[in-house]
Amino acid sequence: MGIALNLQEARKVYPNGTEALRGIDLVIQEGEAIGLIGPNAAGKTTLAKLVVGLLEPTSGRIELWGSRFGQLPRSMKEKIGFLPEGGSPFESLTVEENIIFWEKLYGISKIRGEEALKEWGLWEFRKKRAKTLSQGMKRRLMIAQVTLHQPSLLVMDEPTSSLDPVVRRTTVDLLRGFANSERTLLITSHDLFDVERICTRIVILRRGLIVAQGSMEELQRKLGATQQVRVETSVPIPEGLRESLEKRFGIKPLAANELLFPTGHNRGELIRFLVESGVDINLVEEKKETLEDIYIKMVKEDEER
Amino acid sequence: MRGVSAVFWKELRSFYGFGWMAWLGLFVTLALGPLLSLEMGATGFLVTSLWGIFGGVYLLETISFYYERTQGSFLMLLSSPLTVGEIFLGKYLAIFLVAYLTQLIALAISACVIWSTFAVLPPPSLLPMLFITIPIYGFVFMELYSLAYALLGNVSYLWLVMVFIIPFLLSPSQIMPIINSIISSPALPIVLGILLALLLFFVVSKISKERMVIVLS
Ligand SMILES: Nc1ncnc2c1ncn2[C@@H]1O[C@H](COP(=O)(O)OP(=O)(O)OP(=O)(O)O)[C@@H](O)[C@H]1O
Ligand SMILES: [Mg+2]
Repeated sequence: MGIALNLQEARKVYPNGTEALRGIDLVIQEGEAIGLIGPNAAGKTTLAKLVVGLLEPTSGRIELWGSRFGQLPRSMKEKIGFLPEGGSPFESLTVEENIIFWEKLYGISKIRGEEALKEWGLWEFRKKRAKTLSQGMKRRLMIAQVTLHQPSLLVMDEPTSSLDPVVRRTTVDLLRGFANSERTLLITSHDLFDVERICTRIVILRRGLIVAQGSMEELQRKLGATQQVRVETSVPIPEGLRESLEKRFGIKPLAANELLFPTGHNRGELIRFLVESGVDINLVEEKKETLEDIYIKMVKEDEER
Repeated sequence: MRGVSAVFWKELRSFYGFGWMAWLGLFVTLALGPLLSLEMGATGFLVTSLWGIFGGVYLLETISFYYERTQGSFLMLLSSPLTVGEIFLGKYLAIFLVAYLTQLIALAISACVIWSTFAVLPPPSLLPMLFITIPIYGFVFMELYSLAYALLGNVSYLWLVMVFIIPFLLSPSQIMPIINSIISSPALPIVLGILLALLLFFVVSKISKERMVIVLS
């Protein structure tokens, strides 16, 4: 598989002088699912727009399948799907007509359009004008539109915002399916839980720069192996035992009957030690750091610097 | 071509679906013709057709841009594989078709009014102007409008232009010499108009998507 997307030193300065991206280097292989996260105004939307040719880089290079956007043949441009952040369907058309427009544009069969309407729960609304739909239904219609032609590169700016839980799940499932195929996916999101479920690689953007990237495991490792084990005892840990725990294992209990220690420790030895000292154990659980934990830590560390 | 016809279709459809305000506007445009015809005889007839096509184009294009901009659907169009040229051409053709049909209806009404009031029909020498020259300049006007939109990001300046044009259109003593010269030698204005339309279209299709994205946001 080749490289789908290659950004080299991509910078973007808006006409009013705002430097939204300050040199992005990013290589995305075909088949990867990238989650772009970062605080507000980090430059996520700008990056997404640059990738799909809505904006041009002020300097640096952006290549899709080895060519600059301007040089891509029409047939390749038709393999891209983009869901903008603030966009909308054509509101004076009906739901059905909106889909027909994209069918005509891509030369797709009517049957595919009908499938999409059903798949996204829009079938019964098909004769309604798009302006009478709720925000979430509009969003569904837009997702149906941008996935209608089954693009090889799908870029979505906050795909799950304003969706109800059921449709959100459908969307996440669809995107996971997408992520498991040979297609390439780039999404931006503030919903880190969704990103964690969908993406194979996560890119954290802050003030126009990539501050970290990698798979979940890599990000966890980079932040100092904070995967932890939590032990809950049935009785409060006696004072004497606390001291020897600290001496032997270097652990301070979290609460009277709660211990937290990094997975690097010999967990069997510690548990045996506790049991032999007459402390029964209620619960042993692994506490994995979520993307949210990592993200918040990362952004905070960054701010402190 | 597939792209242009998709946009054309979509644009026609959305005219179909827009509210009563727009249709009222179009109706006023229509009704103005016969009223002017009553005042000014055969000259009014020409003014009618000018009014019909320029007014229609102006109104429809304003509505089309206004809706797409406020709703954010222009962003969807721009992020499709369509080029800026295709988007505009599709829009132009639809807007022009509707505006031109409006004009034809206005012409028919005006002709009836003139005939019943003055018992004369407009001379046949007017026909090339009515059916060729004026439509071409209507198209040119439409291109200028969208160019102004893309470059200035704000079309309120165009009202200023209209303020100067309208009295001129309504004043027969100023407009008649020009109209007469166009009627007596129609070829030059037609050729000029076509060249101008092509040149403007070339310029319009050179507008970058980025320009449109920033203007529209
Ligand atoms: N059209 C524009 N003109 C000028 N500056 C802009 C424009 N669009 C965005 N910016 C600026 O660029 C920076 C990055 O904006 P961008 O929309 O890419 O952020 P984002 O990461 O998508 O934020 P959010 O999470 O709020 O969607 C911001 O400082 C923003 O103010
Ligand atoms: Mg954004």
